[in-house]
Amino acid sequence: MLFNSLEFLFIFLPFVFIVYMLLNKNKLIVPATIWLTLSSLFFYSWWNILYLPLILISMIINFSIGKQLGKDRTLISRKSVLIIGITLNVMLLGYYKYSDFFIENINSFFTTNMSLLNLALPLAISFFTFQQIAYLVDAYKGETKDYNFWTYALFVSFFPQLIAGPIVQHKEIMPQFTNIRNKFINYENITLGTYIFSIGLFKKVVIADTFGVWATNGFDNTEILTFFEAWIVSLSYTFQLYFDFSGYTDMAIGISLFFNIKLPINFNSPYKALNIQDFWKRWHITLGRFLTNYIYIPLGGSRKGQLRTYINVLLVFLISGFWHGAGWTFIFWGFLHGLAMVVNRFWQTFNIKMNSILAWFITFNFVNVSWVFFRAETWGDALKVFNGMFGLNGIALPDVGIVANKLNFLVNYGIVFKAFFIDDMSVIKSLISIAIFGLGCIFMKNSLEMKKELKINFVSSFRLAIMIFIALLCIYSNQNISEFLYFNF
Amino acid sequence: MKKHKKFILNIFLSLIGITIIYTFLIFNYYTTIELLWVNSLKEKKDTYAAAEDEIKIIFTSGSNTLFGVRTSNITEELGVPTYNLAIHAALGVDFILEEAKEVLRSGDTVIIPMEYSILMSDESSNKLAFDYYRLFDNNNLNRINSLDRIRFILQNSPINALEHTALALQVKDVTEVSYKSSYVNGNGDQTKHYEFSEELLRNVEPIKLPDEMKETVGLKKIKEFNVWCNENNITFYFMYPSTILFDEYYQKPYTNYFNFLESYFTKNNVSVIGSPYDSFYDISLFHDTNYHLNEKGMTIRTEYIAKQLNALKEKEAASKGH
Repeated sequence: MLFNSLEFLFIFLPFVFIVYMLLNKNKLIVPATIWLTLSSLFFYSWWNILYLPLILISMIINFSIGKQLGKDRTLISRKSVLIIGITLNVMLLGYYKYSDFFIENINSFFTTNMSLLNLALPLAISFFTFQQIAYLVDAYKGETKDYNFWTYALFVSFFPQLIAGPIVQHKEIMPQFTNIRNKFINYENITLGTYIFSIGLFKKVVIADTFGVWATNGFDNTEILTFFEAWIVSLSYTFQLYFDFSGYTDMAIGISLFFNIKLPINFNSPYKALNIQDFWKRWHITLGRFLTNYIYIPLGGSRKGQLRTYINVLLVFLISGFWHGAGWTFIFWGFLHGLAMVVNRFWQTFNIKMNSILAWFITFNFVNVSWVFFRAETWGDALKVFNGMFGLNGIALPDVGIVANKLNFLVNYGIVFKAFFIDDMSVIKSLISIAIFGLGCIFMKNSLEMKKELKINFVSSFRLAIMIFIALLCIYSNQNISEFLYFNF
Repeated sequence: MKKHKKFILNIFLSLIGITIIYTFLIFNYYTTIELLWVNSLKEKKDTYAAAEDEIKIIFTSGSNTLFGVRTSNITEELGVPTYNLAIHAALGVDFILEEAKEVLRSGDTVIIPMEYSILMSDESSNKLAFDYYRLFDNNNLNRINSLDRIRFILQNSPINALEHTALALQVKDVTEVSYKSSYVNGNGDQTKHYEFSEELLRNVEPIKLPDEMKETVGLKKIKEFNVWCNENNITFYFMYPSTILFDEYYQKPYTNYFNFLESYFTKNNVSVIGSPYDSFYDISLFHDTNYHLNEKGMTIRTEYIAKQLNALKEKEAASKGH
């Protein structure tokens, strides 16, 4: 069930919310928690009920290990329990997500012929595994309190953030689940939740899905891309990914607010970033926080000298790339970002301030170019887009009546006129959309800033209603509701 | 807290208000170049056919017949007034057959070279047909069921309307050559579709086969139309549509599908002129899509059909002689 599906919007969400609030109103606090947990598991099972036992077993084992870590034991023994817990989680993730990747590479390097397992990736496994590893580490550090199983299960499976984050920490969510003040309808939170959810819905179904069509056509259905085509494709994906993922996060934050739960922010206008470090402070913030707290700092962070810091940074980004997907293109994407972080840190040692526009231009283009590896399913797909972006397949303009007639003289300079990889109308739409939403990403306030400045008056409510209406229209008229991109990770 | 309650209520009321205004505007005013083309074409064709007092032959289906059959030549060849009522396959099987019923009289002959997309379709109603009835023929709007009507109205967005208009302006060189009702002759045949457009035909592919060979809504409607024709003393012939020849059509699973269609029509006593293979033509005989023959292709196909109809006429005369 997707947040942007009609069954979610008009059946699941209202039903779960009403029953939850009614149970709480009648002081049935524990049944209300159980109801929300079971509803979340139902939400998860909607895709494939076969994975329900997996998440249940994972929750039971981690909860039990967490309990053990909370008990008074000798230090070594607690450390051993933690290592066992982390290993089990990593093994589970490794088995489902990375088995075939390793088999393929072994076959390739050693010319063996081991057959692939062809396991389908259980939905959200990367997210709930990371979240539970963080819980175990926090439990080891004594930063978790003693909660019952149902509250823990709700912390892992809470449906707004189960599938694609934000990756939450035990200490920021569990107290909210148990706080009695959060058990009753709060109209202010519903207002803010509706507002931010609607912005997210609009971002996803109106903006991201539109860019998605052009990106998919370019990456998956076209053999050769010329210069402008390749830039349309790469920029379309850059904006699709941002509006898709931040739209999802906005929806998750909005839905959680209905239940009086405040999720951490995950995006803060990342395409406004002036350097790559700045970018990672703004993009998928909760993943960055996880990687910093649970990998970078334990590796030594920046405490062990410059060279070791660079190695740690590089390692963290390689892991980040590998976490996103079991493929060399993902690892290479992680490597590129790690390298850029190292270069950025090195640059900072010179204490030279770069012009802001130039800094933005370099950062944005680096991010845009690196997304090509993130999106491409094969090296061939990535090279195809790259060849186009760097003009290796020539420069062409769309063979549209007006353009071809007015700019015909360009033929003398080696520019050809041909049908683009998308129809003529889509070429115009894509250029306009890239310009509008590109400028929007740079100059407009993001959804959380807008939420803070929301004025509770008729104009705002009417504006919101228009946005919801357009989004619903898009959902209704679109036969194939697209999944969120981060569901694949 | 009260102001937040009011805010939420305002959102709901605004949503309802916007929906009502939007539905009213779209229902009454939303149009596209395609719809205007369908309407003007249909007005002309209906007028020609309705003015005919003699026993006549009617060709109808989607645009493969509009571009592929020159009924003016058949009129000359057979000495029987023949009209081409075909417009657009996107109008759907229901629209095509119901509209044909309106002009058919006892003793008439109707020939339908229906597109494969329609034969494979399980849609009972089509959006284009709904839009046509909504704007130009309100009395027949009830041919579309209520749920589909809501679905189709919501699919009409002002953005689409703007897009259609802009697209029509951008590709005017193509539209001006082919898609103009003024280019239809007095029998309803398309004219001035001379050329073979290599660019537009570059990406054509063999037809996509259905997952399962079964009686679709499209086939069922044709079967029922055959019964209606028998009851009203109208001779009905089904024909396969003119489309581009691909080598794949001589291999499985295509041969299986064509055999399935042939046996379906035989089983349901639908008279068929020719086989699917008689209606495949080389790509050079096409104009801009895999169903639109160019003028040269149209001539070849028309000669073939006239020959078949003459043979049927002779056969009929011989059986009467005996």
